[in-house]
Amino acid sequence: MTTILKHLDAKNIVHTHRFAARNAKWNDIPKSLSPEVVDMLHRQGIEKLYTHQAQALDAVISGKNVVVTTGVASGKSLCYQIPILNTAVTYPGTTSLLLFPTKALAQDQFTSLSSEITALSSIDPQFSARAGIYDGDTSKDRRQEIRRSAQFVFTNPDMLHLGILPHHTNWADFFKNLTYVVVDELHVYRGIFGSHFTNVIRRLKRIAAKYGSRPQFICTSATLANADEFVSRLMEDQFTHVSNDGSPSGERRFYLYNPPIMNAELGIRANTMAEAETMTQTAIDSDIQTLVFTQSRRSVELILKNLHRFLADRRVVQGYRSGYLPHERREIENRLRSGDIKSVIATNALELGIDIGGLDLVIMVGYPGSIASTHQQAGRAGRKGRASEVILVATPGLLDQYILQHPDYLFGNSPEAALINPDNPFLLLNHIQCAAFEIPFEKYDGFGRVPSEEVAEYLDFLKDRGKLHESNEKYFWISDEYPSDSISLRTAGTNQFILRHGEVTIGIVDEDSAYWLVHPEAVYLHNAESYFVKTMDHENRIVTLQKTELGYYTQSIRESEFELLELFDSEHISPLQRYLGEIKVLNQTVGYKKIRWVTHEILGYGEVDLPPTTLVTHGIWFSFPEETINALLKLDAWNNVTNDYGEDWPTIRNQVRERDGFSCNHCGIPEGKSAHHVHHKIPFKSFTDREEANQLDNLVTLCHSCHANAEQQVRIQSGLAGLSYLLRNLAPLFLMCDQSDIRVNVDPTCKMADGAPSVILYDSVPGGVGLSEKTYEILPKLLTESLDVVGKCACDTGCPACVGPVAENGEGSKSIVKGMLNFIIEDWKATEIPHV
Amino acid sequence: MSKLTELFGHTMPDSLKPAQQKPKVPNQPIHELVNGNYPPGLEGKVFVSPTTEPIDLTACNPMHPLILKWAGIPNETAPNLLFLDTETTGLSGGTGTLPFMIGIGWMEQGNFQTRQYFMTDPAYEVELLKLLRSDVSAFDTVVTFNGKSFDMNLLDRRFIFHGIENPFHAWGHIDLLHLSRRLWKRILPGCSLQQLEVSLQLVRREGIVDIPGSMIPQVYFNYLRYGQANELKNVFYHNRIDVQSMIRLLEKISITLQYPHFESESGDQVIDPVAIARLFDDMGEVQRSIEIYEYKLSTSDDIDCVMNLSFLFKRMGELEKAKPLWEIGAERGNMIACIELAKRAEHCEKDLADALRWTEKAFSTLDDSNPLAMTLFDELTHRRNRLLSKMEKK
Repeated sequence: MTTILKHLDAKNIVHTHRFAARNAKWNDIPKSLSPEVVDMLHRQGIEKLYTHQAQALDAVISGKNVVVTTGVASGKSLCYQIPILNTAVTYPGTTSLLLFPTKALAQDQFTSLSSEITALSSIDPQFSARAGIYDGDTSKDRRQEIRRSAQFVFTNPDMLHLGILPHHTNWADFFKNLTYVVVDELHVYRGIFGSHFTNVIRRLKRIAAKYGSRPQFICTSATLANADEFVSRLMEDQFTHVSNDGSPSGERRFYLYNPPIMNAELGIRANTMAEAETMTQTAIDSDIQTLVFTQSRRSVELILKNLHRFLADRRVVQGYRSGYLPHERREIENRLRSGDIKSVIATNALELGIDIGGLDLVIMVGYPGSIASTHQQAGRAGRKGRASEVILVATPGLLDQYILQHPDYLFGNSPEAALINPDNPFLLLNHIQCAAFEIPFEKYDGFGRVPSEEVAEYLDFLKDRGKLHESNEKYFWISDEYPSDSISLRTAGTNQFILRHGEVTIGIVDEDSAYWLVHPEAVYLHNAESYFVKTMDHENRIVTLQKTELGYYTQSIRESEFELLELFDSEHISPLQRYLGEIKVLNQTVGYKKIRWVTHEILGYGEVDLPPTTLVTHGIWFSFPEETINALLKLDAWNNVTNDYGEDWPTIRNQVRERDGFSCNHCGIPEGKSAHHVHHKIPFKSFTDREEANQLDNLVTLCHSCHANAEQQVRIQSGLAGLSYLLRNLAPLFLMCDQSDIRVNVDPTCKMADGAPSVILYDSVPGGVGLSEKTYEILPKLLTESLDVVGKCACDTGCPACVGPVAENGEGSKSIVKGMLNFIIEDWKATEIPHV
Repeated sequence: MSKLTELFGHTMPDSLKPAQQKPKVPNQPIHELVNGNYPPGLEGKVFVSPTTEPIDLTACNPMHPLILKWAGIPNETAPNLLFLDTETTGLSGGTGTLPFMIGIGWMEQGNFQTRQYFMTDPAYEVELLKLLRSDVSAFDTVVTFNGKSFDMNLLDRRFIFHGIENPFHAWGHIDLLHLSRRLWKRILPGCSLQQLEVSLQLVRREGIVDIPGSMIPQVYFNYLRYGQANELKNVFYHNRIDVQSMIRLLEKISITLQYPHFESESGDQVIDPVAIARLFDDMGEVQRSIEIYEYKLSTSDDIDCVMNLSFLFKRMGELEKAKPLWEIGAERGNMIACIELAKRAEHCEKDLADALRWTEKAFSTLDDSNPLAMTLFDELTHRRNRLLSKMEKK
């Protein structure tokens, strides 16, 4: 087999992980299965099951809920298909609900199950189960048909929430006979989406109970650090976890590739996309079938364009986007199989059809954003037991470089924890309304694991607001509204903004997030497509978007004020103090940075004039008490910052002292024996141009002690800023979230910490989804890893891969942050605080 | 609760503003506002308001048989009709929509009886449904206005919700909305019940007592929250008129089908003979259909009339009768007529030149504003080319 390895520069391969070839591990097909089902399996060529399939099947048959976390292409579908078909054969009329997060997945699984139903019907003519896809695209007539007669219903959480549960009387027979609920790709239900999902499941269980059913859950998921805890919290049930993969695989080699440094002084590396394109080109020439994953549609287009330039036959490379119809996907898969297509460029593994089979090589342009996605994409490599290769081509970004330095996270124990908070009050308020619309609440009802006393609070609140009417110990919905309509499963529902592209609504965001992500002139990435924000209508809450090819994205600049509403926890982890609580944040977006894709260089700034917003959420902050700051200020690392102010500095200095009358501008003390100092108001380091930094209006005369104070403030600010940059970039790895999900701020005089300098992190979702809680828990580890990043970074004074671009106003120098972290961690070692 | 109020107070979503203020008018109990009472055992729970209206119903008792045929109801035994209309807490039809008032009506020897059931609280819905069920056992056919998509659907779901058998499930159903549309869509601006009431002069509603349908749910909510019953009077009125309107509508339909020719000189009968003839045709009453079309043709040259009748004749195989109609149509610029004549010339009369002439005439009627213009153009071109090549061969 041809390998790409010999074409790669070994110097750039930071790490190679070899997944040894694996033989299949077999178990017998359980004897308790009905003979028709066994016959059906035999006809498909299945004489035995993989161990994990048999294990899952046994657990389901014995009445347990199951979650299967074996890898891609391990035959997970059989784990749910066999039991639901088996029960349907044995007890005709039993029904199952199957939930998938994407249309493509639902369609493929539907096709797969349908062919099994056909096979079963030819074996047993009495067997006449029907399956149907019930989603936004299903026609009205077909919907009626499915409601009336389908036993296996394929749908998604949004449709369940909006179209099925609030009309459960149309599905009475379906719910009466509901035996199984299948949930695929469970790990995508994290963050706000997952928190909503739990509530939708709560409503589903409530409705099933009304019709006398208690369905069993069969789920699949990617590997997670907290799989058991997560599943239990998400589904509010006990689960048997099946994880030992018995399926065979060919040998796979995974290369972590770092584009070489081109400019050592500035720390600039070769372009990630260019490197990936060269590799793809080589692969095509060597007849290696390749799948290339990249993060945005725009990148797909660019790569295609560049590859097409060098190819004789352009049809050899195929771009892949979401929204393909099943027959279009089939065509691409066929052409791949026949060798017509040698390479596919795609944005997301989940959108690919299950029959795309495997390829010989997978190339990832940049770290996909989560370890689960990395494995999902890598899992596409390898055809029927053949050897395969995967290359992760890193970008210069902090997280990419960090992952390269920590391959054990990818190949050993994933630190990713999927986090949710189903009891987020904003969400609960919405779902209790939906639930009341579906079935009136009774006086001592709980809701999922939410105890009745808490539910009662919501019911009374809603009664007070005129949505519910209480009588006869029941709470009835009395409004002509249809609550599910205004509730999106992706937002907390606080004064939402609609995102519109032309006539189409492409998304909804909460008010605070709107001013953060889609303020006027922002560049916003949605579903791998980038958009420019043309207008923002504050009154009607509509944002108008336009597709864009701009080479940068934006990050908003905000002013924030914090107020503590309720303190949940606080601890002294010497030398720091950490806090966790419910906070109110007053945010105002004042401008934005333009940041180049991939290299993360700052290209420029923009200003906007927008109203402030209020956000109530959970936050975690940690502070540096005075003794610590004093100790830090004495450190060499904090005082070794030397700047070269230039040859004419002495002249400039004298000019300033003369202008200021040879006295301190701050306290007024005249010069004594020695000359006063001259201080840069905006730190010298923040300028790229020395002359600009030394402008007279940026300079001020200060006496020795006032100068020392001012310099201290600069250092504290630098340290905090650099630290916040590190945390902002690292935290998503452990929290399994996007950068925009957790916000990081610094406050040199934080009211919530008795005025001490602090770093504040908070959930961007109103009410929180658990990110702050987790950050509070792993704070020591985060800071330890931050030191690791800063320590290993090859740059001199700071860069986007460690403490942030040096030219950032307020973002600090590397040595200050390093000194800070060293100090903290030494203290932890001494006081034995666990931090690894 | 105050904790939630405080929490949401910081960022209150628009939809959860404080509830409406209590209306200032003093409360009066229902039985002082509306004629009726609580049946025994249902005191304070389900209020029933009956009305008797003397009415001459010979025109629709029995009703024109075509109506039953249209509704798919066999006519062996005369159906026992129940008129029905609901007032609900919303229009979404989901499981949170309740029929708080159900009005029924039936004919009884020179009178039209209505009875309105009202649940004083959602907690008594089961009682309401059970009472209704026991009161309708003598009937077998329900007459509604839009009941097929709304009222009967909703009631069915409420019976399912409470696990009670639905008494209506094997009944026949005459939905007057659909029938009215068939008969009057072409000539009336709209076919809502209130529009029909005005156009066909069915009933007169007293403006100050009636209430717009959209305000009805709020009246019930106010009643639930504050015991405010005064405006309920208006809801009872609205619902009763809805039911009484339906019997008159049925009567009007029956008369119209019986006397489709009857267009008085003063023009105050609203009749579309073409639509009526079409209905007879669709129901298989071809002779009657032809009669009505021909009657209409004698007084007008309505193009739909011409074309409908032509196709009726074509279906019956009477092409010699269709031909003169197509000629009229072609004269009036109707493309289909031209094409039919071209087809007939080509295949029956074997006159290719004539066929070509009709094809060219068809081209001249092509209108760019027709969304199918491109397809039609292609078809006509194909036809022309085929004729030309045939003619060449000769």
